[in-house]
Amino acid sequence: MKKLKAVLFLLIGSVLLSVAAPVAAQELELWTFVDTHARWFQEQAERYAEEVNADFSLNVVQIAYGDMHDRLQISIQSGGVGAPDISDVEQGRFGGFLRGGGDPGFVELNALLDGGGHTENLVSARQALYTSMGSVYGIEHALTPVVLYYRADVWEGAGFDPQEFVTWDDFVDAARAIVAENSDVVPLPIFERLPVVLLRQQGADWFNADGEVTMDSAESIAVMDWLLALKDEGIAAQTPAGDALWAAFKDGTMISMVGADWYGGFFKDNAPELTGKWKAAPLPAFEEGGRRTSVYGGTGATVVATSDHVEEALSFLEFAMLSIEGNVRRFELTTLWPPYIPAMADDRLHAADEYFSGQDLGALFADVGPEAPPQWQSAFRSQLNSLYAAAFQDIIDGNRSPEEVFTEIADTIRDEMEFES
Amino acid sequence: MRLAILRPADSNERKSLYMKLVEATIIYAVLFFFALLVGIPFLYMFTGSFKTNGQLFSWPVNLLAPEPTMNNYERLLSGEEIPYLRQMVNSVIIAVSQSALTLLFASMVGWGFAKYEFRGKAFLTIFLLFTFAIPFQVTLVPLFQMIVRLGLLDSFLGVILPSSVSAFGAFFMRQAMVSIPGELLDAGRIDGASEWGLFWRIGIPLSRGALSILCVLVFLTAWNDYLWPLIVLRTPENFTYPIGLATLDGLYKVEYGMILGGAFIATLPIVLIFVAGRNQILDNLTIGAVKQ
Amino acid sequence: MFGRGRKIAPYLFISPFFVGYAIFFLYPVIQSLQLSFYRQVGLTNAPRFIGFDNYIRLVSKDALFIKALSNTTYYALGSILIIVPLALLLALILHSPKLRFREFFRFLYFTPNITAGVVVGIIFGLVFEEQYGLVNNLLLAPLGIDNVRWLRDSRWIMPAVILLGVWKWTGINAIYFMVGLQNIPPELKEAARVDGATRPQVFWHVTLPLLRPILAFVLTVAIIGSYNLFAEPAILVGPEGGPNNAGMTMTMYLYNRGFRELKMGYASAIGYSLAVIILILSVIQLILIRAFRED
Repeated sequence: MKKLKAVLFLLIGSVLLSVAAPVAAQELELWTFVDTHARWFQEQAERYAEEVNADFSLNVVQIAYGDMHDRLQISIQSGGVGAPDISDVEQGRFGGFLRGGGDPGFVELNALLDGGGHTENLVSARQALYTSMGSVYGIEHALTPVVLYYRADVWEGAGFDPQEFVTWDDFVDAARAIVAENSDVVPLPIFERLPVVLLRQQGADWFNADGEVTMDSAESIAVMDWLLALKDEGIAAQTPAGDALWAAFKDGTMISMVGADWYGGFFKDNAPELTGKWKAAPLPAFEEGGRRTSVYGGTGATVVATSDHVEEALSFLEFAMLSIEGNVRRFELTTLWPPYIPAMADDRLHAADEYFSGQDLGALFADVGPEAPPQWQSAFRSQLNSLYAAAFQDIIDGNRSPEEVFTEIADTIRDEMEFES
Repeated sequence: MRLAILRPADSNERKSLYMKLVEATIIYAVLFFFALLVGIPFLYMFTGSFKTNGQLFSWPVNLLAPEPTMNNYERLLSGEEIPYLRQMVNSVIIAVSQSALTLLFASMVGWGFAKYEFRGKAFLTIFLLFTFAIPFQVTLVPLFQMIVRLGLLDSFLGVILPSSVSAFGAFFMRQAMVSIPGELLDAGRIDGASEWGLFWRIGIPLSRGALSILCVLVFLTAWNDYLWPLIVLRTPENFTYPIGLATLDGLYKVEYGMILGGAFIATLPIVLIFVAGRNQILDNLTIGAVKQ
Repeated sequence: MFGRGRKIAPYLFISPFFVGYAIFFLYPVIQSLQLSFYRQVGLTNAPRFIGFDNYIRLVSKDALFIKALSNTTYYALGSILIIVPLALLLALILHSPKLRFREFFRFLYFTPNITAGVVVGIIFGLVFEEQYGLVNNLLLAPLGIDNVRWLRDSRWIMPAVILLGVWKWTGINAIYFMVGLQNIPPELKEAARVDGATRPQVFWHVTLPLLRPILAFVLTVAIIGSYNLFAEPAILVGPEGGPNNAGMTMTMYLYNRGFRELKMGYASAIGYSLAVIILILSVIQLILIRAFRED
């Protein structure tokens, strides 16, 4: 009996213990969903502690993409329970924070940006992603210029130089020749968002500047149709899911990739054995003289309004994100091309990159960067993305036509907008 | 009549040796085949925890780990990606507390229903049975709002309290306690025991078997639960281990090796507990559940 | 603290449970019903009364809800039709006399049941992987069957989830049936054999009818379990259920609307719809079992 009693007390004790368990952190907390960002933030925090405030310490927490945004949103709405002080917010998810009101729960950065004279140093098309009714809530990490990464050994070995491609027709002609030699290789891997990336290259998007859905526009459907035709021809193929993608790069099946600046960092992280085999070129244009790049992704750093350390957080962000030094280090760690104009010319952004066969990737990004198209924000973007993600496989497999699917999704979103208005 | 009875028995005898051999072969073949189907994913979990992603995604598929690496365990236990040890401790605290509270509430209410007559008893019993059919999903949204209002978001109590009132547990304990002879209690009363004393000194010890079954059931549910802790817990330091492992399943990269290693560490103690008390737990568990 | 009063003692014994039950179950159940008639997006925004709009939208305009409902029903039917006969077969085998290693098999078949859904979801991601997965390489390739795109082809996602369910739940159900078999007095079967019944006849006319209570229990647990399915498919094919939302279950759908998009009123309406469905299924099941009893 005594034993039973002791056990029960122990158990009740552990209940009481559990109440006291969550301890308030003394340091600032930062959330991100990208490991390269996490590394960079950590390094900047150490630099900030060294140069500005010795008491500063930053707890960088990495949480999976979807989960991090869901959690952040609920934490903010519930008055900041468990919320970090600073958080990365992916541009595709930012709109969701504006839903059902308009106050996203982040600190307005206008005073910091205008007062510090930073506004004109930032590429305005990128900042627009984090702006609502004149208030800026985030600072963009990357310009995200999209380029064509390719296996130099394979393409050049077959007698083609992708640097010389002007239009997608040039690309397709060369790809045809390569596939004729070896039908196992895939010159154009199709990933889920490739259609919208190529749509933006043409100056359109799935939403327009007024926030209306334009996914069912003729251009939007045409891009998808074009990719499907290339797939039928054996030039394009869907990327394998998950880590099988890196296996496909490593075994030489996938020999190019349309990717933003950050994809360079992914290659280095996930396929280090391919060092010296890759290069990058401007995207081929859809017509001669057309735009040679697009934008894909992008993440902004925000300060959460419920933070007890807003001043310190702002000061840290200014130090890290609105300085040449911080932007240069970020590029070196992640190959994210800075949206911070004063940093673009820095020599260190133009070093020969061993992974990319000694190429100066910075020069390429700087070259195509000014052409980067705008991208439009919408509170319904993440929902549209979910619907599209679910339908993508059916489109790729030819079960349903792009026109049918895109029209259906666009109508669903329009209906949703009406239901919530 | 008699002949008809004898014939099948006769032929049974005759076919016996040969047929029995065939039968045994089939039986063991089926059992081993099933054992393989069940066991191989576990084996793959174990060996996969010693592999890199590159080794997991390569041909030919290898169920063993010819070039084992400890890297996954090192990274997992160093807390570089997630504070995994802390998350395991959180899981232990939550599962133990939830089991303790559920057992306490369930045995008390079970005792009240089993051993006393009181006004409203019939009504409460029917009422409980009726609400028993309502699925928990109905309560999720208001429960979450309540947890937010009470300031219990991101706390262990927010996970534990709502899960600690189990109508199933109440019925289960009532069934177990109803068979305790009333004479024992009357004798106790004559000896001057308080009503609480009767419960504590007679009711609890005599239903130890049922309590242990309920304890195992509640503990397992809490240990493996995902949905409710996912809703309540907000920061990685407070996550339980399944949520922690799920965060390693990222947008761009899945840390398979670390996840499999973490899964192995979390599953092993449970398996060992069951191996130690295997037949007792398994028998009681299923008999108890079936009898509910 | 309970004194000697036999009058108040029972109330003191039952009150902790019922107070908790009222706060953490009954109140939310009522609150949820009310909320389901409101539109509320987010935690802090004011709710707006909209009558039956949420329910009307669910059944008439929300294709995803209908899909989640049909997916879940597919899973429930598929898993029950495979698991129940399979579990019964295993139980009969495990019950056969003089079996060696009985305890070993019983324990092994039980182990998937004590493994967390998240863990199972992750392991089966590798099991069903298209190119490097175990099923395609170890089971299908030797039979000369081409790779099945388990997690990408929307037609194969639910079968994959069902197979996961079979892996996880067959063992425990076999053990339930074993308990039932043990409770059948052996004399009954012997008597039937003596009367000239063949083995299949004994099974159909003696064993199976006597297993009816266990069968009812297994079916109830399976139906409720199907509608609770969350962690495994969410991890296996992602929170939206993968291609064509083919792996989206009712509980996942409720979670997504309520806790990702914070549509509180709408999610409550989903919860109540789920309750109604389970209620209907329980009634049907009761009727069926009663019908069996009469023959």
